[in-house]
Amino acid sequence: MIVFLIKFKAAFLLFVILGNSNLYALTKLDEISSINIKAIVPPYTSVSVSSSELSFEILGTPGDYISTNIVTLTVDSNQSDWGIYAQATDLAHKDFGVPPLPAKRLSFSVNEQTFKPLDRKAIFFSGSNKKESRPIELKFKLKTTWSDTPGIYKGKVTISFFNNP
Amino acid sequence: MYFRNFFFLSSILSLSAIAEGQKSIDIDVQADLQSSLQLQWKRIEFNDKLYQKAKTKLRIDNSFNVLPYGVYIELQTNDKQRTIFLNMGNLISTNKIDKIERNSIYISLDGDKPVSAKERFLLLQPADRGMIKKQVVLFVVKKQPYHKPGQYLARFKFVNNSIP
Repeated sequence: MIVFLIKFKAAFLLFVILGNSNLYALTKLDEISSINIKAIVPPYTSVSVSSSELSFEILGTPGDYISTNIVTLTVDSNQSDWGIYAQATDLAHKDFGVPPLPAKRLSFSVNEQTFKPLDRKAIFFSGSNKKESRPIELKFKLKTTWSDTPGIYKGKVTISFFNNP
Repeated sequence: MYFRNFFFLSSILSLSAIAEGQKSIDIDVQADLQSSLQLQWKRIEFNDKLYQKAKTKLRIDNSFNVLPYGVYIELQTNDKQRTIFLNMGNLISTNKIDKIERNSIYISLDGDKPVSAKERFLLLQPADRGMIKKQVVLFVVKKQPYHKPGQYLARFKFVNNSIP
């Protein structure tokens, strides 16, 4: 008799559980089909500058002149570690045969720090995807001498991004 | 099915667009270098070392007098088209009555052989571009019987000329 009662209780409990789960199954959405989502995150990098032109107005006696515009550099990257390099070319005079202003006379400052020469490729800023990148302020300086012929000189500064520098 | 493909494609395209971001940027640099000239001068007295050095070198006979003062000049330019001259006027006595005309005045540069002040005197020429020129100018007077004794002041101008 006791055995019978125990079996009956167990059977009743099972009936209640199954009954409730069926009730639940009736209220939820039935899965008809599924969509597989595949997201590919390739390495990306974006380097942008606030100005693509830099000008020096050298009106007085030769010496050190700061560029009239400040360049703001912004880097966005998901690379683990990255670095920014800069290099300048000689500034060529508009007239043929006039010696150029050597690239080593150009220097730059990052976020108001001391000026560094631009004649060779030098890393000046590094970052990683672990920390947020903030805009970098670049100032440029040109040194002129009495030996420099008056006139218009042109050249370029190349700013490059490297992964795992 | 179409929805799945579209979603997948749009995900790839948007990420590709970011990946296309530039990794190298050129900034054009332009420097406008203007013609520049530096000219400094001061009067030097007979006891100045610079005066004495030039005076010692100067070779003149008794028919000439050297004024007991001179001018020390520093000149520099970056412009090969630029020339600087010294233009002398007559010597005027301190009482402003008497004068010594520039026909009788000669200029010696650093004690070199004096040249007549009738013509403007070249201080800086195109070949001097870039270098700093330090010069001492002495004023030499050819004695004439009609010159009255006294103290005379030299009047001169620096003339800047650009060769076209």
